Amino acid sequence: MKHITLETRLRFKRIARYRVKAKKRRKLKGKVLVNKRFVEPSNLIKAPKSFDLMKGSCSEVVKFLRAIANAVLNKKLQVILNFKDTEQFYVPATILLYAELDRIITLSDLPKPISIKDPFRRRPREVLKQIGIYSLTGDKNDIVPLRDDVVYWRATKGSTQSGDSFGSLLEVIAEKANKDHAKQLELSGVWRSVNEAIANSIDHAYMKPRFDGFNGLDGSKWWMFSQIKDAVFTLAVCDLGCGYRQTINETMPEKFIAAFTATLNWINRDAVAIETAMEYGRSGTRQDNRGKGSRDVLSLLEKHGNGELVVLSNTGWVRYVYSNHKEVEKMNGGLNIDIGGTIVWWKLPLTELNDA
Amino acid sequence: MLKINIAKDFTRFPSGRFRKNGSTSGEAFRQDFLETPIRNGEQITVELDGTIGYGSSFLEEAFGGLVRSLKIQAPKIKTLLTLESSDSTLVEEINGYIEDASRLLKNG
Repeated sequence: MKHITLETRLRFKRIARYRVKAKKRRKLKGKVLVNKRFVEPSNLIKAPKSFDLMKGSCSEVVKFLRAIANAVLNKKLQVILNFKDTEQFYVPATILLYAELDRIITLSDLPKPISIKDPFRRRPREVLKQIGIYSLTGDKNDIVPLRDDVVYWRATKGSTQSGDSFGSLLEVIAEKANKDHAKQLELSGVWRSVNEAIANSIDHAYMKPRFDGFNGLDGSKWWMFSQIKDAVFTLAVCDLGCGYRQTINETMPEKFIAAFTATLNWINRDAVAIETAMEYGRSGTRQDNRGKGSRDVLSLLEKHGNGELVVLSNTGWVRYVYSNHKEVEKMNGGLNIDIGGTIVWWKLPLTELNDA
Repeated sequence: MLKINIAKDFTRFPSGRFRKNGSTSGEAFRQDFLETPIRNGEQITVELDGTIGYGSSFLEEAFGGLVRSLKIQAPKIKTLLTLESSDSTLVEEINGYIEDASRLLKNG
């Protein structure tokens, strides 16, 4: 039998050690030890296919947001939001998503409470990137938004009413709107309405805690969202406060509320509260220097001539439609779930009526 | 005569009622620019053009607030304060706030 040299013996030992390690590696390939996993599979929360509050997926969206809050804030779990099947984002639900994620991430003491599994389609991926959801969660996504209907989505937030923070953003978007479209957007009208919506968020929305006990963040009290899409300028202001119904008794005279609500026979009390606040602003029956905000919220439609205003608060909504500077339609209704906040949402067409 | 251009001397983005809600508020403008000259009986002209726009809470607190803070009635304020704007409805609106505040002051 041939003697092997010391050198060869050492070489065989090295190969044997390598083979044992390789076998272990093959065994573990594709499997990560449970205690090393970033997120348990059960903490994967599936996002709705469509983010909309008005067209049927409202309860799906709100339940999704509540599931995130429950997992992160109550159970102290890190979660992955699975946006794989998400296809559409509409303004009210998107601003609510942005605001809630900001709230949950701010309140959580986990190092990285939320991660995102990207949407399969490019457009929703671009939307998430453009409005800053990836920045909020700290996820990396190299996609560059290019689509015309995405690049003019803008999101911002604030805790005060200092105009410097959102004034420049509105200037940019109004400039774009006026450059590309026939009907001009008058910035002073936009400013007046947005200002009062933000004032309402700061002054009234957090007077009382909302249903889950939340009563405001130090850093963000309102979230704003603007968009130009299909020649329509859209703007939304959102807060996560207690809603109109909780505060109208403290911001308006009891006599006015009683007299006005007696004329209404709606079922949804949140919608009644929104309508009462709007009417108080318009009525000219004010007895002090406050309570003009809701009038200013509507004044943008009067000034622009055509468009819509939708106010959603907790479980109610009211929609005003204007044409030729006059109110032509007013509708109201109830949502099947409490959205946990208030959203004021304007839609202004940028084409003349006869161009459409 | 003192001349104040809100856009140049204060901010292009006037917003909000109270100073606690932001440095560009109506209260901040009133306290920093209007109260001292009006209290001293100086003539003052306020140029409103050049800003992005105005919210009613800013205007009410800045000008209606003058009546409340200095306890001066509308006719006296109007003799000292001149408003200049290319938008006449803005001037009417401010005068309305001054009148309303004055009426509330008179009624206690």
